[in-house]
Amino acid sequence: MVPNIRGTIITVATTTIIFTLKIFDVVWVMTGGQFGTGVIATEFYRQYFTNRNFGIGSALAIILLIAVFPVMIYNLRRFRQQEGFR
Amino acid sequence: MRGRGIRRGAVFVNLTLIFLCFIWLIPTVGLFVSSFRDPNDIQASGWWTVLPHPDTVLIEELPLPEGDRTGVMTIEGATGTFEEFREGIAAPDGRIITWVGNRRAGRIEVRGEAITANTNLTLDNYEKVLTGKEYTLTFPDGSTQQVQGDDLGGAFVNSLVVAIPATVIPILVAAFAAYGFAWMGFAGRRVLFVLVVAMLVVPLQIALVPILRDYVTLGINGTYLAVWLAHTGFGLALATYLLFNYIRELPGEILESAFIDGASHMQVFLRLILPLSVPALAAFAIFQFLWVWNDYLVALIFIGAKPDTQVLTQRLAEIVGSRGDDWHLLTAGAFISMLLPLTVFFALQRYFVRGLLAGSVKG
Repeated sequence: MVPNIRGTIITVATTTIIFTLKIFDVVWVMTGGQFGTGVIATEFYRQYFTNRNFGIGSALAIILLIAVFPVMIYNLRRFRQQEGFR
Repeated sequence: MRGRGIRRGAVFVNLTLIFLCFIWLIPTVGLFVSSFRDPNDIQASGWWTVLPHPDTVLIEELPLPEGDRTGVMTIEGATGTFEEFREGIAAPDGRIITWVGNRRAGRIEVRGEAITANTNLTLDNYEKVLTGKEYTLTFPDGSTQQVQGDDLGGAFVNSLVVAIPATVIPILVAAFAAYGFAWMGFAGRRVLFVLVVAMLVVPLQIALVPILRDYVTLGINGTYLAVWLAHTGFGLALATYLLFNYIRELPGEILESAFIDGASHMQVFLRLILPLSVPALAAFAIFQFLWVWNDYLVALIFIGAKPDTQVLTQRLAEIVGSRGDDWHLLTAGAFISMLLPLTVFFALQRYFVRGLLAGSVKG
């Protein structure tokens, strides 16, 4: 059963991981990232737009990009294996 | 033997699914019920008290007993002194008899178990959050306060104004791009598509800062045009990828015969590809519409703090901030923001499930 839906499981899992990594609205509205609940996206917003620390804000955005790199590489390899272009 | 095993498995699966749906539905139902309840009721009891449940309720009120009130008295089967009745005495049948007031003036309250339901429901909460008018709030102690409505009605319209073009534009662009990638040979086609696949997972936070700077330079920051373009850019990678997967699977013979008859790429696209890809277009349209409707970050950055242009999610977040204790307003506002996504989902769920899976997962 599992080998049959392996592709679907991986697609859903990676999509969820990406989606959760960049989560912003729920955290921002509920706690504002205070009391140790800050995530990368809320910290990015606070540094860039509230504290005007443009450098730190941009660096946090790049950290987010690096965090999704493994998934990106995995996607590209899968794309090459399937060879979408004929 | 085998049949019974399968049936038992099906029962187990169904029970698990029912349990999961139950856990999923409870907060939504609670939200829905709470949005119709009176503010004072919300503070005093849970939303589930609208369902019939056993509770201790006031059954009847009696006048004070006649005669000597200094000694031991018997009221409704309960026996005790005035002081004991003030605290409340349980009668032999389980009812609780309480003396309210002083020795000379007051009443007797009889409380007991009964099936009751708190059906004091109202549409006031929706009226208060939807309009921008001022209304008067009355507290339990009788004092009043003038409160400004939250004008979610206006924000609802703003959300529509943002979401509809932000859905149509990326679909138009992506359909052209997907057709080009699938059925036209041009230099750099493979490299460009690999870029699209790579962009699928890039979080939009990366692009916020450069885009914001460009918008300021162009002078369109804070306009709806800016938000439409931002959503278009962020949705384009996924749109192109999904539509490409679908359009590529269309039978090539149809296109070839059209080309032999002298059709141009534009004619093939408009007359064949677009009508044939309606399921995929609809699926992505739903997806993008829901995404834009629920978006908060992009609106927060590109629309900003102007009250008359803010979208629903922004206004809702502001209500959470300024009226965090006013659950009757929060629940009503939250349900208003869920209304359209729920409608869209239930109306088009056939497309949602079928179209997104079409071509996206290969065995």
